[in-house]
Amino acid sequence: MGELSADYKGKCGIVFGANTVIGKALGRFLSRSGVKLGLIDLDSFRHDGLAQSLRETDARVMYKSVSSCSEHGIKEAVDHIAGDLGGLDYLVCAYYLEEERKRTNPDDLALDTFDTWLKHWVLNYFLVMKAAVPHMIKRAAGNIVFVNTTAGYTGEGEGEGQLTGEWSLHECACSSAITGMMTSIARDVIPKGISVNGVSLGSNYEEAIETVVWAANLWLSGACEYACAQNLRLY
Amino acid sequence: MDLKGRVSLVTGGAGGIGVKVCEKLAALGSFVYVCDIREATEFVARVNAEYQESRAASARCDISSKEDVEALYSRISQERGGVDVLVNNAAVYGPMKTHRFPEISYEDFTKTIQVDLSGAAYCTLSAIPHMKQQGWGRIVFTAAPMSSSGIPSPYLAGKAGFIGLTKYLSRKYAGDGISTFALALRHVDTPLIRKVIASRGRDVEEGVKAMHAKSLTGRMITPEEVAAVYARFISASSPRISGAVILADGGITYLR
Repeated sequence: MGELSADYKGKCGIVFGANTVIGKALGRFLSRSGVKLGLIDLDSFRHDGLAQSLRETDARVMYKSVSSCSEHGIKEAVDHIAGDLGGLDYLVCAYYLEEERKRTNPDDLALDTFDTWLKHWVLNYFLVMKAAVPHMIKRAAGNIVFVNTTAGYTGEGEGEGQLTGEWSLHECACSSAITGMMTSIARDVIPKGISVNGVSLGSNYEEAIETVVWAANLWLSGACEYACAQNLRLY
Repeated sequence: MDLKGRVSLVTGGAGGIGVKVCEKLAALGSFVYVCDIREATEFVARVNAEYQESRAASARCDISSKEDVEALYSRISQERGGVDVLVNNAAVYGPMKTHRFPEISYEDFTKTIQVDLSGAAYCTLSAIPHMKQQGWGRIVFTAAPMSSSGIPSPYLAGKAGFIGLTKYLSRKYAGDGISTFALALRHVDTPLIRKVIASRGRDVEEGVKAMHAKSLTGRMITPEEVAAVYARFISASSPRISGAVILADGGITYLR
């Protein structure tokens, strides 16, 4: 990863979905690279183990839990972190995919199940972006990474295991919706000095953690500073 | 091409592309439920008079409401057995003035995406059991290219969501006789696009003229042309014709 190393030291970042497999990996990477870090989880996935273990390494880490789709709660958490850490340079949006997949039967055609996916994934990403971007606009700089899956491109997923399994209609629809949302937002904010790009994981992403960190680093480091709304697909 | 005996549901059926799709499907013999936020009484009366039989019905429904969608499917099930052809065409553009990020409000974002994406998902999820049971179904999406620029985030999120739906449905239900496809459209001459031009303070006719000129074909796509493509896919008998997302934008996305 050395060729992409950026000067992260002293910068401030937030990982939303810090308790996901990907969130943890990216949180560790950013903290070890010297980023002052805010970790945000949904109440239902509250677990500050990562924050505690990072603090043991003398890293500067804050931890907040928020209610899903709480506009006020998410804004308050982001404002608090940015205020305390001294601004915001990076945002990583990681989703609780492994948990949501465990709870979803791929043959489930219930309308409520779709609502759950939409709220937990698309709407929470929107809200955390809405809270974070004004802090980046103040500095006319910022790098954002959306963690997504390739479900929206391929409509299929195979494999067995805790984190994989068959993809559902709900996931495929929300995955491609995230890509559309990212594309539109990226174009709105790039004139303000903010880049928004994505990493889309294949179904066996347990094995791809290192590659995900590499990809996120590509976008966060500014190595491709003119990239806008690009989605690195890791099949 | 014959859809005699088939029951179609077209969301956003009372205007723009939707009304032309309804006309086309009725012309092919299908019974058409014209689903919209407003009643389509006049249109339905005209169609039924033209064919001198009951060929269409107005189906007023707010598709962003699960209760409305469930009630509509319950009605169709009782009246006609179920939906054989679903055209997910309804969409709202979102706020005309404050649609840029981060100015767009959470309320506007959710209101828009609930019509554009949740509405289509509700209709699709409700349609599948009947289609699966009878071993035949067609699901169509009026989508948009993910690469479109200057489009509000909830609108593009909703339209892009159709691409994932199309891919998923074609794989999951290929063996059940259900085919699906999407047209990723840009530059279709509809009342919505005229409304968007007006909201930007531009002269509508001048704006439309500029959009005609911007297309490499020299003109915008018409709703009739979209309806004709839908009809062709819906009528296709081969189960292999499924899962396609066709970019239909007059060449502007990649060539400009």
